[in-house]
Amino acid sequence: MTESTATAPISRDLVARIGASGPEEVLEARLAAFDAFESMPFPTESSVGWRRTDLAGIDLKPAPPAESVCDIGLPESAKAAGAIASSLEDAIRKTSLPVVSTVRTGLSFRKFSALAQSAWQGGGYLHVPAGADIADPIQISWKGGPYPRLVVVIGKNARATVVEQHDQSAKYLSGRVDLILEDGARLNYIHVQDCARESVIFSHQRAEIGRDAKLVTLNFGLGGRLARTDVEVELQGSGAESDMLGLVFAEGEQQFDYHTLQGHRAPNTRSDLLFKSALDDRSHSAYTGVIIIDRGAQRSDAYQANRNLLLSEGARADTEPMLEIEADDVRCTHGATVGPVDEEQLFYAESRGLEPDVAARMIVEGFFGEVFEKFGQPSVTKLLQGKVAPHVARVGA
Amino acid sequence: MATKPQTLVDKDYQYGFRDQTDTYSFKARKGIDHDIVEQISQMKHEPQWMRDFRHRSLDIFLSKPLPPWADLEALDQINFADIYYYMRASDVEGKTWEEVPADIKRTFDRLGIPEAERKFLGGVTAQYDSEVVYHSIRKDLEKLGVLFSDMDTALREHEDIVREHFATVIPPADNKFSALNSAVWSGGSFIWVPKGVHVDVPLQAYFRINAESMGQFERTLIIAEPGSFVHYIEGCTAPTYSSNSLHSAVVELIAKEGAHIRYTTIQNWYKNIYNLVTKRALAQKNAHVEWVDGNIGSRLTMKYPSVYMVGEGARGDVLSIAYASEGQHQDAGSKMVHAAPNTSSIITSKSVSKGGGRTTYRGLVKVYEGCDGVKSNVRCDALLMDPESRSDTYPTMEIDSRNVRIEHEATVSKVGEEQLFYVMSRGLTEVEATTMIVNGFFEPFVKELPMEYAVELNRLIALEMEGSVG
Repeated sequence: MTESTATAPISRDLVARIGASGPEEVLEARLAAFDAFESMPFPTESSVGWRRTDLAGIDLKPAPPAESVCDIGLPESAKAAGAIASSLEDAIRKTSLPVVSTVRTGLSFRKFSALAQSAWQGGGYLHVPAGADIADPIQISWKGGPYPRLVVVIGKNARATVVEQHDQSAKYLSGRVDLILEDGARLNYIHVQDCARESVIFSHQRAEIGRDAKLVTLNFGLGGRLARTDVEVELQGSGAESDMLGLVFAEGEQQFDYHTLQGHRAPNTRSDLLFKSALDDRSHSAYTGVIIIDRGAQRSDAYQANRNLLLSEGARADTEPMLEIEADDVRCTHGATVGPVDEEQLFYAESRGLEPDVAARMIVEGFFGEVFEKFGQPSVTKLLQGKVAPHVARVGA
Repeated sequence: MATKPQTLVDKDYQYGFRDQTDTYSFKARKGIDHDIVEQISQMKHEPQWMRDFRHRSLDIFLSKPLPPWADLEALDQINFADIYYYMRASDVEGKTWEEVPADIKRTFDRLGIPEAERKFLGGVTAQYDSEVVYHSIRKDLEKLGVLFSDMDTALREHEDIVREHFATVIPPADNKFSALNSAVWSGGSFIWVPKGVHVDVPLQAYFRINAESMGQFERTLIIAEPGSFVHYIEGCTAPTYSSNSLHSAVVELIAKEGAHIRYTTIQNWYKNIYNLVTKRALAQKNAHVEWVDGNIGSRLTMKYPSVYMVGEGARGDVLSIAYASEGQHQDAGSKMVHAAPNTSSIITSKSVSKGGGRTTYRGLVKVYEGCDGVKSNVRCDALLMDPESRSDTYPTMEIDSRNVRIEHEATVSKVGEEQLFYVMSRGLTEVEATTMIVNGFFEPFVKELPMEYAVELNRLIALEMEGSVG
């Protein structure tokens, strides 16, 4: 894994060898993903979508493939309800499960995460059967391998909560997650990214939401030198809903780059997005979000908000919230703000006898509080608050 | 003269303002190359630096690709080789109304410019095809020391001022179309307002295109010296055509310290015109620039009036409306570049899409490092009138300073059923009710217009709304 090994750590031949042991369709999907990776240019600072990212000193060279071990902690209630957790390789071998189709159909590529679709080894698979209602969060954690690939299928009318955490020691990660919600399913998905501060992290999450199903996602970003995350939600069935939440605390030279898609492909769908970033030191956040309402997706309701709190002089935020609307009977609103800690709020807190640094920290906590409140799962809030607390403690100090 | 068919002279052409102007005294051949550019410059007896500038610009135009983010499906329809890049309607430039050739006067009558309006409004430069043919400067403007002429005259009579400011706000290399304009520009307005002078009446010009496949490439430069004020109004109407036509203007505004420029445009090109315009203002310390921009016509409009705030306390405002019906794409927006502390900007954009029309808001708010106290507010509202129409919003915010307040909000919706129901319950038909609601939606824009323009615009919207419902 050292820098000096092979200049081209990944090749079509290597992908073919990795996929040789699996079924033909999966191998084809791997090769298609690799071809997509090859066809997309390596980003430079003038590339569309990268122009504002400072790539100096960042090594984008892919890591050599290795097995990613996915540990899925099924609570007793989940086991009792018949939930299945295994490696993705094992799941593909058991042809009774709808895995291969997911691996094949979710072919939507981004430059680096396409590698996760081509060179993944091991991988993770979670299936919650129709009607199961699992209250306890299912913890998923990764070890090893730079290309974690996770497939989660929530059966009809089933409910579950999934918390995915990456290997904190990883230097390079390019992950891909596919979330499939069958009709009436409900999933709360939390993605915790608190990798090492010098790491380069790519993550591409794609969700397909069926009729009357609801997905709530929370992306928590704390780690990485450069962290690029793509969150794509496809509302495919009438009545499908999605709440997309994001929370970033950045410091030092960290760069967070979020791309979101709210795809309204069916009528009567609803989506609500709130991404918040607090930026300290010389950190940088770039947010690009698009709401697409297809022709025929009438009575869609979409909201998108990106809020950036600048905590220091050198912090930067870019935001590009976009709308592409092709149906008329819709309600679609977006908003974006960039600014420092509100002086009036600060003044008020200080007039109540709080020290300026304490007041600033309280305001940052309050800034994040809105996201936690929307998510509304106390155990998750506690986990994330615990992770962000040491960083918030530095604010104003 | 005797060869002119009598029928053409008398026949009333009911669909528009196209009249029998076949008497172009000069008609360049179609297409663009260095020969054409040389010919234009020669015809105009231009100084060498302008000739060089045109040739340089042409090279840039030829080498620059079309912007990749644009509506290429529409842009690709433009056949650059099939366009006239220079024409003049008359060799005579009228100083007084009496001297203006009769056929051109007829066109203005058709445009319905009322006599009272002509008197009320200050100077009138009327651009007919590529050349300014009538241009009067009111005596009081002269007394104030305001220079107001067409660009070609300005280059002859005030070469030093022109040379100092020309293309300093929009260099030819800015984009493919500014390069094209720089190579073949002709006509347009030049205004120079001396220090501290307030021009009380709006200055205006009418632009028209009136030859098939003929391009129009006017070039406007407005310089407001410290503490001065000027309001310029540009209104466009165009006759009917059978083939596509291109309009590509460059408008540069320079507001020096404490100056205030307001630039109002009502764009109502015929629906086969490609309207690809670069408009940009430089606002120095405490200067204020306002763009009031209405886009009703054209096949495709690409126009993003910008304000570059380079001095502390400068302010930029854009208020724009866009209306797109069948076959139209209004790709409009604004750029606000904050390059100095305590600068502020407001963008208000309103659009209506109807009958398969498409509106796009494309904007940029940029705050450079070290610019504390910047405030920017962007507000975009879009109305969709039917399921065939489309609305896009592409705002970009690049913020490199901390102590700033940047806000953006956009909504897309249809005319509210409750609103409609309420108005109709008062006895209005659906068409009347919809017209009323759309007029109300555009109200913030309309009330910024001089009265006669406001009346005209309301009438136009009513006309557009007919047959849009039911």
